[in-house]
Amino acid sequence: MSLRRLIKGAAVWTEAGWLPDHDVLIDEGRIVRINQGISDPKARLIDARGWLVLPGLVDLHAHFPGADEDEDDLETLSSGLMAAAWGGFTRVVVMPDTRPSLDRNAQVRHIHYRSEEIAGARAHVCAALTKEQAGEALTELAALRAAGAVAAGDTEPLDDARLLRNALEYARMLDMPLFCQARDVRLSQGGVTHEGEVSVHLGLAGIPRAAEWIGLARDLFLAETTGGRLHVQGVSTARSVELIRQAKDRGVRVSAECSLHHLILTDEALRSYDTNAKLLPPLRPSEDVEALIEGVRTGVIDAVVSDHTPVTAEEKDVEFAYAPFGAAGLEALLPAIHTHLVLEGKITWNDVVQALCHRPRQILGLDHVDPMEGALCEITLFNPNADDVIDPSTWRSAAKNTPLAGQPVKGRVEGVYVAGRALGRWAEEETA
Amino acid sequence: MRWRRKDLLGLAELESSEIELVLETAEPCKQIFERSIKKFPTLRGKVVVNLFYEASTRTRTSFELAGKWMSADVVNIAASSSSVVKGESLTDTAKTLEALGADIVVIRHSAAGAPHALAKAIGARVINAGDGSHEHPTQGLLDLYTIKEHKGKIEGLTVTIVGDILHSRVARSNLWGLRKMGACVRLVGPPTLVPRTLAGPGVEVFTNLDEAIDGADVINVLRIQRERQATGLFPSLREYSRLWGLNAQRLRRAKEDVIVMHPGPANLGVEITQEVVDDPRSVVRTQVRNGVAVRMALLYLMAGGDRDELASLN
Repeated sequence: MSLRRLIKGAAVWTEAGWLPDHDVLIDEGRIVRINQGISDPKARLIDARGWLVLPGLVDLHAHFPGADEDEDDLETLSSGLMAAAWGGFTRVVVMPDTRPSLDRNAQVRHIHYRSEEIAGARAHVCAALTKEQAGEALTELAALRAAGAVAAGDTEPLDDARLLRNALEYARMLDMPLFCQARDVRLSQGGVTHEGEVSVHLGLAGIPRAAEWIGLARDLFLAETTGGRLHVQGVSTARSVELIRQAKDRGVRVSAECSLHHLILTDEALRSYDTNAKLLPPLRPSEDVEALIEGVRTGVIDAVVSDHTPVTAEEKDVEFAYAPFGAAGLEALLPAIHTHLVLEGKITWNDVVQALCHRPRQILGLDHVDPMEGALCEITLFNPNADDVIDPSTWRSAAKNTPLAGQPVKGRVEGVYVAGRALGRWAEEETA
Repeated sequence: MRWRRKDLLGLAELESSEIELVLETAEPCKQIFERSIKKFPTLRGKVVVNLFYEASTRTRTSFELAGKWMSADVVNIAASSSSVVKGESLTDTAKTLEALGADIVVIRHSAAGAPHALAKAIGARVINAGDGSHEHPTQGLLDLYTIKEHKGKIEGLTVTIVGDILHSRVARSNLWGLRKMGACVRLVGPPTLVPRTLAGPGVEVFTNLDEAIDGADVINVLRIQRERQATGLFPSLREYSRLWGLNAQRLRRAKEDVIVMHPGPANLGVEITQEVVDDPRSVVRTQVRNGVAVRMALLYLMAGGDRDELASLN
């Protein structure tokens, strides 16, 4: 039986705005009351003065290589879902590039089942779109959908436009969004960073912006002509934001996301050949970053994601050109967004809630979860006043690869409440 | 005057005064070629390791001679593959060398940034002897030395660099070094191989070689890698040679006192003809000698030597 909890003195996010200095009483996994000056002798008190109570955040994009077998590989389902909860997420979409890849309905069911047992965020599954992610034959999308897969998509772009067209047509019947990487495979081949002044200076092979535009334009046209649902992952350029805005204006069923790192870092982060800043799509110059932030603000970019990509220190400790792409982001995201975007006045808390909760939930077809009396309790607790440093050695995630290590941040995730359970720092400290 | 930084990773981060220091220190070093006994006792007891992940006869030999003539113990390591293939990380290799007492590690690597990783991992000094398409600072320094030697100055000169700028570490080191020393730089080659982002104050980008060498004081011809043609960056070596090859006919239209440089080894008949290499205005052989002098100067400075003390040894 779950514990009765009373969160005291927090600012509570509701549809109507912040309720300052309010208490939230939680019992049996539901929010019983939200008011000022609640007292309940049977409830465990949480001193939350100065904290924020947000609707539970959702990450649409995380890679847990060991999610299927749950052994050996860096980041199992357990470590990944715990990292998500400690990072302030109540739900996370697991990408299909596990070993083996998530091709079959039994694997989807297994991940859901395992997710129930793990003291972490709830897992949703983006199933593979093609068998073994080989880009050749479609997976059984109806069976995967029936098993609860929220989306389908390979983690590499589909080179074959006809196959993508067929997939969009077919998935429309299932109202299933396809998660796609927008990238022309040949134009980006061999590239390890954004093609521009920095890549020329460093002597590194570049990935031109046009590689993203071409891939994106193709995918948008296919979504438009089929009526299928397209979710664009990894938006990284200003022109891409414009292409997506135009498509939305034409009524194309498209949503889009960009990663934490693309909102707060530029390709200048590569000047020291830091392999932890080697990402795909690559980090871009500041004019793109500004356009992405504007895209988040206006909602053209629906979601901000972690694109959590675990890579071992050994794999990253090689020559830049040979290092794998990707950064771990689940436990850095919220403090970094708060520090670099909210406190800098670039986006508001409303934008954060939209991009990390409301719109991702819409994309996944989940109900609204703003804190209110009588509702199931699914919340994220954030302390915006804590002075902290991004320190991967303290993470729940098995992955430590981040270009943000050592950066001072303002704000700390205190935890989440999901499926009747308190998780994260606040729960850990009370049991200790 | 003394060298102040730990490593030499590129010319992009150097001050002009640091470049000047190396060029001035190379002056007494060069005189060693005139001696019957080619040896300074200055680096006795120091260990210089040449760690070459990429085949190179010229640069390695040049560093080897430079070290030996300064009386250092020089060890050559030809590492044949990257850490990825071998399973041993670069930093691990470097720490082993450091444990063996290396004072200076000279590294050549096919991947840009490899010397940076090395420099971060170890306390020994690191000299970049060429990393991928990034930099080749000692080549840049010897080219600057050669230009200064022939022209008496660098500031105010116009230097044309011809060839595959995009993939050339020699081009980058020359470009940054020349700009810092006040020369104007012209970059010319196939449009697919000359990044336009490099154009800026003091740097012009051309596609026409005749225009680019008109009025130039120095022409530096880069080696063209044959595999670039295979990847579709230009149609054929023949067409490359026709448009960007330096031959005697073209050279006639250049300034009378122009000097022609090439980092070697040259693809004769492709980017440069034998005739041009043998022309009195070609300083290709001098570059090779200057390479040893500049590397002696660097090893000396990086081992803690003072420019003025070396000059008094002569």
